[in-house]
Amino acid sequence: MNKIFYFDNAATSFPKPQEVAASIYEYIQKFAANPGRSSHKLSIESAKKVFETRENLAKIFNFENSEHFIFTANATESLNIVLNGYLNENDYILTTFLEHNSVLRPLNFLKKTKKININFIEFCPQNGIDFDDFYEKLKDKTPKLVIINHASNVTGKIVNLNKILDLKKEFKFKLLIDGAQTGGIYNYNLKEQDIDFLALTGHKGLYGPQGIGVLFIRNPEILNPLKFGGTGSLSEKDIQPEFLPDKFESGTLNVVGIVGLNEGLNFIDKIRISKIAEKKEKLTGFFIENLKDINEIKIYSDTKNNSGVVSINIEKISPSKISQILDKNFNIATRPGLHCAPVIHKKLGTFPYGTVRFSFSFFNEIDELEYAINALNYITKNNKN
Amino acid sequence: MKAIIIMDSIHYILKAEKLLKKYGIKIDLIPVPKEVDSNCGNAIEIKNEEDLFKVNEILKNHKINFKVFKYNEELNFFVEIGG
Ligand SMILES: Cc1ncc(COP(=O)(O)O)c(C=O)c1O
Repeated sequence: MNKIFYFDNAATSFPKPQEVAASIYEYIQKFAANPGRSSHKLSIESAKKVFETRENLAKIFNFENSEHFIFTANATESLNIVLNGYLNENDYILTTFLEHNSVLRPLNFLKKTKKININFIEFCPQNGIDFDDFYEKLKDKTPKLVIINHASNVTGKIVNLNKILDLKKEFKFKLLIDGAQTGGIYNYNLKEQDIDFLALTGHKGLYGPQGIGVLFIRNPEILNPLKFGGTGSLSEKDIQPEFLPDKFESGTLNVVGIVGLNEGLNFIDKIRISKIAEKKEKLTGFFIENLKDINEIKIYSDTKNNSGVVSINIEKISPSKISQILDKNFNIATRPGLHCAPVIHKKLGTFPYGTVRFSFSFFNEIDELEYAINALNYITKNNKN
Repeated sequence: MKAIIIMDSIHYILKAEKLLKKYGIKIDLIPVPKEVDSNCGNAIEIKNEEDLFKVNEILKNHKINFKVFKYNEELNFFVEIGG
């Protein structure tokens, strides 16, 4: 197959580091026993892989005790665990217009079933959220939970987390951060940053395979599990263990995914998150600066605090058509439409057709962007007549 | 005389193994002896009984829940001695 120019890394990063695939293959060939269910050699080897990955998470996200990192299927499951396991009847919560459907849909379900009261912090293109409005809303009423998408998967805007944490000190709410787009791009320090729940997914900026996610839980006592079942521990009791990680990890884990994730984590640890962020900054900067010269292109992203995502539209062509031409004629992979985040598109004025999203990874290079810019130029010129 | 420690789940066994090795304590990962009522199937054998005090301290400092058993030859049985 001809070279694919892959700019859909906010959906899933591709390619993966070579070690990710190699480790999964090796695991299936050599170790793939059930971790923590038996005491034979292979079971222990398998459990060691899980343990090692957890320790790696604790190292990269700067937290002492690795059992506070729970393995899930993806960010969606991590978010669902917190929303369903923490919110009660009539709770008041505050969230943002940047949210993904993995937050909006569970919230709307809980609005129906538990009559939770949902309020939104005003949108602001420069910062993602309007901090003045946030402050006013907090002064009005303390929410049980604040849910914030750390970086918009539509515009790439990274919200200022430390500013949120300052407000948390003052108003003492619990905080759920959707880190689906920021894991591996933003350098978290969970020892110092008082995030209560951090939802992560393995297959984007952490460079792991699909189907593995992570949830960081600071205080397990305040959260109910979503799933109950076998954990390989306390088997004589027919109630769920209270200790971590077992309280939240019923059922056989996705060790294949965990093993791959571990290599993804090793990869970002070797390169360093700051270097990855720097490279993405360079790529988005270059892309945006060059697209600015094309009058027919409207850009919805800017270079400041960007996770590596640029959303655009071309006058008089629909996003899906642009994406289709890019794929068919240029081998360029992008994602058109609403990106599972309908409310921010309403704020951007791009609902219901959305935008064309280019999202970069550490593996993208400037010459690939030059090729994409030329392609966009070509499409624009040839659409004129 | 053998001493073993057991924990709630394999995560803490592996965590303790990593810690105790770091402190230079001689240990082995073993299946739980059949006389011991354990939760997770695995145990850590402490090779030198004199290390037990240090083991106790290290695990408590790291807030790891555990139980210690010692083998009693007269009874031919493992006896819980603390944790
Ligand atoms: C901001 C945001 N939240 C949550 C998700 C859900 O991630 P996953 O599909 O891995 O559960 C995504 C990715 O699609 C996302 O971009």
